[in-house]
Amino acid sequence: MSGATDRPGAGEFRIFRGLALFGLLVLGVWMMFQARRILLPFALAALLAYIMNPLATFLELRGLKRLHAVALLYVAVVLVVAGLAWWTFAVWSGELPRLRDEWPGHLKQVQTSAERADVSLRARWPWIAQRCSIPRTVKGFVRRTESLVSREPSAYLPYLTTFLLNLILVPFIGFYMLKGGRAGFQVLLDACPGRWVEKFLSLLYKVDDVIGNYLRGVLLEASIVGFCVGVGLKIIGVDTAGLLGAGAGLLNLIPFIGPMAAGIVGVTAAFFQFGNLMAPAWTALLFLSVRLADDIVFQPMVMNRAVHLHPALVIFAILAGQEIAGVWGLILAVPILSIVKESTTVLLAWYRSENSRSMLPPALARAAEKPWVV
Amino acid sequence: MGTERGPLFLKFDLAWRRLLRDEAFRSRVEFFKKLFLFDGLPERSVALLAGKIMEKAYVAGETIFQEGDVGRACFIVAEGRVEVLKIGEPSAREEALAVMEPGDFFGEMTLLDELPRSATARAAEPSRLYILYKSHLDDLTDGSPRVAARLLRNLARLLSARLRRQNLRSAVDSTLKEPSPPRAR
Repeated sequence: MSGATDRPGAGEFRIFRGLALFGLLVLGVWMMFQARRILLPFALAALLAYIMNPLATFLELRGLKRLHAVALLYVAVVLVVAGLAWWTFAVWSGELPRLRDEWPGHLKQVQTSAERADVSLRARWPWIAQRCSIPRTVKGFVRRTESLVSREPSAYLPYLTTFLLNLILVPFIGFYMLKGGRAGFQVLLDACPGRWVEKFLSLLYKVDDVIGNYLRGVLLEASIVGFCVGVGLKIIGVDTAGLLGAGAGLLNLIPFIGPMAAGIVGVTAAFFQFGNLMAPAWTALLFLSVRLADDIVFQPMVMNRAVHLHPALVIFAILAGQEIAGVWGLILAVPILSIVKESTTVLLAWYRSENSRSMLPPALARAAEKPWVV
Repeated sequence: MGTERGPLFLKFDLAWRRLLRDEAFRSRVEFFKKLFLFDGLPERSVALLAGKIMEKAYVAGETIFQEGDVGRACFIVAEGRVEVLKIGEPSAREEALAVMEPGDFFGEMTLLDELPRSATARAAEPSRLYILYKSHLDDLTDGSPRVAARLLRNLARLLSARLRRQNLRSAVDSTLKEPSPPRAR
């Protein structure tokens, strides 16, 4: 039955309204896709606000005004970030000059190894050596790397400018997003027609749950992996252990491909430093152990409420994300896929329950048949 | 007396509250604390729920939910009046069952069973409602089972009381309908 507020032609109006909303949604997605480059600071600010929101809410529940809670948090975060920056500078200032000084030696070693491998290949399998020249390929790689490293500092200026701009913009936008709290959701809820409120909230809470679980899980997991790799490489004796550990943690944000890339970089670094096979083998074993520990121990612990996704679908999403939005597409592909999957599940569940008019489960229905004694 | 607070302290307390404390949030918590649904819950848990519960304004005549819709939320009237209506069997017309006023709540049964609504709710005048969604209760069950048990006990007590009233009403109705025994001559 339709409500008392329904008028003649209300059905047509609803269809028109639905189509208009769908059109607006498509237009919004298209506009966001077109403006994806300038959306980056907003996306990062939203991420920052989302991560800090539980802490702001914690302080708010203790009676503090939202503005003061956010300001207090920002002061704390500035102190922590300054501490981390100091620590990172201390690590990098030691490791980067050494890496720059040792780099020509490493490249020379790569070229020598390639020439040795080529001689061995020509002696054993000349038909392969005729088809591909290892020294030529390696020489090309070395030339490209040298030109990248020996660039004038001014060549990095555009990247540095973007980085510094984001460094200012992201916390600034994030502050207002965090201060607003649920105001954005409240605007959407106010715009939602009365009868759709429960469906809207159902979707909102599910998406909130998915993003929250994913972000908390993935950040914790990346920190644990980064720490384990850093400590492991230090024990093996790899010079740039801190840097490689941090890199492994960051790369862990990209499922499947990230850990593999981190492993390859780590093993290559160990090979160049030690010039033997033992250290790279230990490094490979370390990365494999951390990977296994991540799959068996860390992930079930920190991502226990994450959405289950088929690996093939995850790889497809990562590649599509990379094609659409580069590095950020790689990182954001999985959470977006999780949101789409969970939203579809919620909408399907609503559709089924609305259509089946699900009644009491049989056992409960039988129990309810008995007269009540109160 | 030692416990009496001087005017300077009161002034300082007032300034402190104005400066730092979120009075709007405090008054919201105080409102929830008075509800039977949250009776006996620790203040921190009520504050936690008050922080999560969303609110929505409805215009007069707007349908909040329709009889037969699958529901997942309980609505608490903050301002205004809400009519609860049910389609009568013989007349097939909507009949008013109750009018909900500030402090009243309705639709709480769906927090337990997620089944179709047994009646329609419509705003009788511009109203503001708090929406306690099922996932709030689920979060509470996961995080603080004892608090959730208390809330569920309140719900069970309410349903039991309604059942007793319904029983009594049915008994009275059937007594009135029974033909009076023939008088002995």
